[in-house]
Amino acid sequence: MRKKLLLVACAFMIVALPGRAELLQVDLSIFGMD
Amino acid sequence: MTCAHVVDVALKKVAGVESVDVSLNKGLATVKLKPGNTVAVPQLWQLIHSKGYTPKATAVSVRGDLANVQGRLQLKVSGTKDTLALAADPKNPAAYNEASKKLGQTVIVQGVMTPRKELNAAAPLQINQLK
Repeated sequence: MRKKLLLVACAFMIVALPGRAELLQVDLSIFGMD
Repeated sequence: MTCAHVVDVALKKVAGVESVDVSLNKGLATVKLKPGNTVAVPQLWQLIHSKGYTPKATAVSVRGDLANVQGRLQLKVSGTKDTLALAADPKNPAAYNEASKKLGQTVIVQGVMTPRKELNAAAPLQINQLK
């Protein structure tokens, strides 16, 4: 029973988590560098 | 210690940063980020500013879900709870139009963000390429 509950909880967490999305690369122009 | 080194070290300390390449000649810092990072561009601008430099136009590559929020095209960056407002690039308006047809889809957007006076203020991402 406990195992089942754990599985249900895990499945819920996977569904609830947002899809992977994030910054991949950033090219920052910086003024004042010497 | 060179000025470039100061920026390099500061950027590398940010959680989620994979690698940093600072070019003195170009005045450019290229930051590659790890999967699942929660880094936001204004956070990097503030960091650069805190080291005595002025951040300028920033080329950004970001993955997220396209959404229409109150009639405006946005990119939901779920890793950061961030929502980026998208704007058309006058040089390539087709990319924005293409994005508006892909609502709900996960895409990689390449574009430019320009910092505002308040560095922590949200700035729109001008799309110039969609993948």
